[in-house]
Amino acid sequence: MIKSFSTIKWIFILLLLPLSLSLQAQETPTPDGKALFKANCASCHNKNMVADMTGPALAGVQDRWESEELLYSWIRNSGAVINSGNSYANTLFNKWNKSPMTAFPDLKDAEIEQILLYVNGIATGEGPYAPKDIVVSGSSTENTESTGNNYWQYGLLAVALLILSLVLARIINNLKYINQVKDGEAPAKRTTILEQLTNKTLIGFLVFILLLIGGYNTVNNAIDLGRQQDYAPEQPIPFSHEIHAGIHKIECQYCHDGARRSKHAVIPAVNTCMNCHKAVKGETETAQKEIQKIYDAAGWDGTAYTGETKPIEWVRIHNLPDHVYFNHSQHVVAGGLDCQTCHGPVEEMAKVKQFSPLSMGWCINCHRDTEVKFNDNDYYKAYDKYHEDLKSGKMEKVTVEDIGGLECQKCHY
Amino acid sequence: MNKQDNNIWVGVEDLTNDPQYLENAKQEFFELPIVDALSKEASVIEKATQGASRRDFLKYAGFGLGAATIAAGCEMPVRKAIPYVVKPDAIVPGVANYYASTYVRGGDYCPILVKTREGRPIKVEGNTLSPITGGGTSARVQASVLDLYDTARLKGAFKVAKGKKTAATWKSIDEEVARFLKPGAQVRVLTNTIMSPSLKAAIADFTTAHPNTQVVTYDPVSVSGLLDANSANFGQRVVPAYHFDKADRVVSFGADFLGTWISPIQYAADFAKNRKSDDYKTATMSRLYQFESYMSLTGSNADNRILVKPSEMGAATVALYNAVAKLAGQPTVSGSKINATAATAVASIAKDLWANQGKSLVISGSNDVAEQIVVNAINNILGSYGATIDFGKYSNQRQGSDAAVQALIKEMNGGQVDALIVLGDANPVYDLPNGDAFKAALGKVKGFSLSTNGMYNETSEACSLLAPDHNYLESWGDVEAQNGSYSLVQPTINPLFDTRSALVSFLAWAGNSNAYPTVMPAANDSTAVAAPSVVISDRPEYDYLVKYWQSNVFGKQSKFSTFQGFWDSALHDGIFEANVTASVGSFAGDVAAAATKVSKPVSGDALEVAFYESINIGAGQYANNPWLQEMPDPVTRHVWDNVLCIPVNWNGKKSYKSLNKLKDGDKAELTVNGKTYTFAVVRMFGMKSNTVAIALGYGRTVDGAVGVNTGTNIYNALKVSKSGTTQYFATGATLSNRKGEDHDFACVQHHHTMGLTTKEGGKDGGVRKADNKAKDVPFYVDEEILAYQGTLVDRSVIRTSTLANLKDDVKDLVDERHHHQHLNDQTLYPGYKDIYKQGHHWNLSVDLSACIGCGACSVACMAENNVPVVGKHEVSIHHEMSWLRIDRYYYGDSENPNVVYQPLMCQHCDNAPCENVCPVGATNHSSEGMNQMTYNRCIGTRYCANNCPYKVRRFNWLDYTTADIFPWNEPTLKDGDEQAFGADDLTRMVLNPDVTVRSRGVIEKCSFCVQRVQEAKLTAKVERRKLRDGDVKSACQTACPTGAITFGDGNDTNSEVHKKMADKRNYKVLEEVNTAPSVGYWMKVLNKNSDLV
Repeated sequence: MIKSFSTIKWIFILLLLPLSLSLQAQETPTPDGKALFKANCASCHNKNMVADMTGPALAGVQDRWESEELLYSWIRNSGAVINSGNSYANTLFNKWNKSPMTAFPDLKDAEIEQILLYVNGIATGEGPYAPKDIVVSGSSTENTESTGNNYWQYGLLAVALLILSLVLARIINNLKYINQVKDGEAPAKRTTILEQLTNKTLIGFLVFILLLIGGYNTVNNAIDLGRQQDYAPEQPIPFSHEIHAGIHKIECQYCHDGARRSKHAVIPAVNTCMNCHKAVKGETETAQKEIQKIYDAAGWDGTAYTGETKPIEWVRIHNLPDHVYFNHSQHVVAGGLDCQTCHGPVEEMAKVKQFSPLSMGWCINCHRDTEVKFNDNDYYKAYDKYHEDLKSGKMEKVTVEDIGGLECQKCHY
Repeated sequence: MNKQDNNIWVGVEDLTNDPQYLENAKQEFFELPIVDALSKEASVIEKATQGASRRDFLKYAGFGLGAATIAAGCEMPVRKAIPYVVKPDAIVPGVANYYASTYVRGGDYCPILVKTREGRPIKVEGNTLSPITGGGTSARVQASVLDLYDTARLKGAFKVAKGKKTAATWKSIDEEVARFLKPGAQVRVLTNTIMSPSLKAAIADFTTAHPNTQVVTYDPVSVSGLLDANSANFGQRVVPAYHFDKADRVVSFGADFLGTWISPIQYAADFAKNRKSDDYKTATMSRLYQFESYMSLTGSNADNRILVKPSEMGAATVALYNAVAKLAGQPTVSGSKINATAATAVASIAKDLWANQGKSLVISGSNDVAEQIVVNAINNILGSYGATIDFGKYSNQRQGSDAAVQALIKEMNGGQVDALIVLGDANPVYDLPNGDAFKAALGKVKGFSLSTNGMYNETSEACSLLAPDHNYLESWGDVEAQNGSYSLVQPTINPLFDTRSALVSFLAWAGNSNAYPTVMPAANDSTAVAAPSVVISDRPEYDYLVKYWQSNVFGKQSKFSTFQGFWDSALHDGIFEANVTASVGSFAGDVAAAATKVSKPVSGDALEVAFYESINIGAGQYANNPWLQEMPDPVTRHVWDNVLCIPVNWNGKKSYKSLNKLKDGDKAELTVNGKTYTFAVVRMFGMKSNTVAIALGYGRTVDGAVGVNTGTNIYNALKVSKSGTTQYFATGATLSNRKGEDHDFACVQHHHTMGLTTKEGGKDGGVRKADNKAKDVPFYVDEEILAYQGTLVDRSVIRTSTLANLKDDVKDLVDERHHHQHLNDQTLYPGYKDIYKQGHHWNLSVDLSACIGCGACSVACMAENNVPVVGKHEVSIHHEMSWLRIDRYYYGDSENPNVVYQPLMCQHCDNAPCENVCPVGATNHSSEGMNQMTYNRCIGTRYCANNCPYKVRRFNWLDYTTADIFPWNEPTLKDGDEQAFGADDLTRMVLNPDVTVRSRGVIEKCSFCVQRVQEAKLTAKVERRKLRDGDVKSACQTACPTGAITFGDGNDTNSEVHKKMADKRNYKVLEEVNTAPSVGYWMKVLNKNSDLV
């Protein structure tokens, strides 16, 4: 019985494998308005849609044009529309100091529609919308399966397999019974389904499986306790690194000046913000409202400092436990790492999130692999044996691990 | 090894193989505290005593687990990060700033660097630019940063009536003062020694405004006698500069100049200079003779101690004078007889001194004018003036006059005083022999009595107004500790509370409204009190200080042409040295007359008492500092109490006999000068029989929670002599038999011993039988009788030598080490050593000859590494947390032994026994030779501590740091405390943010200041250079006043520590067990006079 059961189990598992693989067939990503907007429009058009930037605010853009076709052709090639003598097009061109809009000849109708839908969604405050099914000329109009569908397929399969296993169990049982009768073992006994289901081995096996899953989950959840990868809290000022570091390309360490000389990278003091924002007052109402918060914090009344300050309470995103010592300058200056190595593409983040898990395993893995720039720093001259080994080719590279980067008291003291 | 080393012991218990002692020595954890700790709630006590402790434990453990699960199940809290609005240029968050300043409290003085983090002082280091201290510190200096964050500090001005204080505004205080400062008012300013020229100038301004002001200066532990003698003999009422570094022979009559006398940091540094040699073959050393009745810190470091009763001290001084005068061919004077041993010694010492004329120095700690005159006369004959004593660069560190304060009491009683201003630390109600009389007289002051002490103390309680001064870390100020040696005090934090600089107070009361915010009308303006005038400067004390320096100090130099340049330099360095010409001084005094006035020896066996200033808590002003309370007294090794030192002697047969058969921890009643006090006693070797000794400064009645009722106040047992000076000894005392026991007797003497007993190796269980060869020497050991001191002698724990035998002893040591190393090389794991040969290998070296045992390092370690304070009860059950302990061993003659102090921290063994027993790998070895302790991995099995042969690992039995969420795990320092020490945000400001605060249930130990190592390595990496010797200095090293401790990279062949470890005087503790420690010790060398045995 036990043997047969386990055989069946293995058969099932083997059956399951290809099935599950086939169910994970890749879906082509749907181009949505937000992504298209970001990729094509956001560098000139304000993404709040109501304020002007390099280009005009896009809210109500469809109403301003006499026809949808004209707008579409304007987007694909504004120069052609202007040359065609359209009056609105020329007014617009002159209003924006005769700087033409970048042409997007490759945008398909459906894509422009998506962009406009997104623009309207933001402008009307209905928020980013769920992308409508796109009808892209030349592509099929198949409905893509939502991922939820997979689950009931799995469920169906599981039920089928369960029935199958029950049936098989009954068959085996019957065969056994037949054998017993044949061998003349008396009294031959047929086990009922209930007996089979409450079989000690089966219950034991189920308990074992449950414990295994439970334990696995407990361990995983326990490890995740206190970790907050992807943590992206609301901040008192919705400061956008995308604008500052991405678009305006402000050096990270202009504001986070502690990174090169201290353990803390440092959230900049308000007076660092004021270096620029004394002049940059914001072009839109939203921007002005947020920049006003800086003025309030710094006690700037528009002409002078009042002395009444109100520090900004930022929500701290990257939190290490108290028993971990981490030093930014060690990594940024001595190690020569880019900020993005640990913090991810911050310059693309409108709202900063914790990019890395900041777990010990993550630290350790990096220390194992990272090569120390051994020859450009006189400090490492103390490691004479490694220098010999490097010269003789015995070592290819010296990693952080080799100079003690995995030892406890590099981070815990 | 030389025979001398065969006599090493730590106390009576190990000499006599006390069964309890042997039991404790065997077990690392002799008392499991879990039931005791949990049983703080009364119900649990009952259950525990009913034997249900295991169930209780499980219950609590179950609850704890549940609570922890719930706590852990909660979401991560939202943490805020609040940056500066305007970041000060100098501050980079996460990087420490150091500011040169000066520690000053009464006559205690030390130029320092204050380490601040994010604008918060967290540690004090010595200022190496100072020619006075050379960068050394003391335990008091190291602990001073904690005083800043004392929760008991006065948080503003107060008015006091009938012992109750009510908060008041500064304006109301100033108004009250103005009300009584009528023209002609008799004002008295009572103060301890003031070394600040600018404060003195401000008081002078005040005196100009109120001409009937007199300043009365006194010191709680006085050297009035010395000052008065110098006034009589040299016309200068000052303490001259003593040059211990130039003195080859030093004789001290009871002056504890390494511990407490006048300027101990300076004297210790100078003294050590003349005792260290780079090469043992050409080594020279000074020789110190100490006359005393009890074992003082200085006496324990002396080469030869001469035991005299306190009452014999004067006669001994005269005897030495006569002996020296005889050699010099000068007339002798009449003197009383002293005990025979001392008399022989005196003759021999005189010869030695005479042979070293101009290179010798005689000092006396006596407060008797006559004795000091005799000492001056001895120095005069020996030609010390101009050679080892200088009147040009005299010290300002003691200026008090005992007679003046007694006169003040009379004046007050006579109703002649209109106003009394008690300045700073002066606390006469507590620390005068007749404090009660002072308190009564205080009530007769007609106007107001005002205290500027930052704390509420016995005197403040009796005053009517409290105008608290800033802590020194919050103030501007200056110090002229020695004539021409200036240093500046600069604030490193804004005043935490609504306090006001005493200097500003004086200016305000002087009615100086030109440059200072003041609410005072001019003194002669008898009209109504004016409204507050405009605040002109927000830091008037700074303005005043700068102005003072510009007009008075700037002119004393020629290096800088502008004042700004001079000021910036002085402020940066913290010190300024003006040129002062040396002054020999011409002695003029009547020795014969003085000799008749010295104290007469009291004959017979009547008990005599010596009173001494405690090294930890001074005259009582440091009583509220828990770091100092928990630092063991170097000699008695006792904490949180003053204990009575009683003599213990070999009875000539089998055992040791102590006074009245008292044992350590017994309580007994001491009756002295008609008053009876109860003390716990501790048996001390090397005490004159029929004398006892007791520390002053304990038993404060009005202070913070730490200081109040800790120990017993014995100031009121002191007597004032006929010449008006306070005498620090008493005769005709009696001591009762045992009157109970101190259940929390907290003497760390036998805690964490290396487990070495006298029993091992003994043929007869260790109790030594009378031995023909041994004669009267109680533990003579030869090859046949190894019974005594078996392990402590055979094992390499302490190695000593004398200058005369140094070469032979070094040879023996080298042979012995060679033998150990040879055995250790027979290992199963050869070649393991190679991995430590590259990169860094951290080493620490301690020179036992330079170490004086002062304890500065152990307090520095607490401050640097967030070591918790546990309180008396916890210490009494062996739970002290100190990472660095200073073991005190006696050796030599049991009746008059020498002492060796051994600072013992984690030895960072390369073959560490602790590492391979840890089941979770929480302690392991780094490639740089450090024994690493990872708190977050530790589960508290304590196997490591059990397996450590040096006993340097400490376990957090309870939540000493108040880091847990369960308050019942937090021990309070004293019964009745509302919360555990450090549970408040103010005290926590002192924590070093670079060092993890340990929680309950983990082991901790010395980390070799790994945070400093990492910081220095990073700085070198960032600067792309090699690590230099001296880049890393451990906290104990920077604290040491004598430079006994050296830390560094042993792989750097040019480093100081490498040279020290390679020196032949170096040995490693328990090297024979092959732990391969990274800490080395230089053998203790004395320069004994072989004529004296």
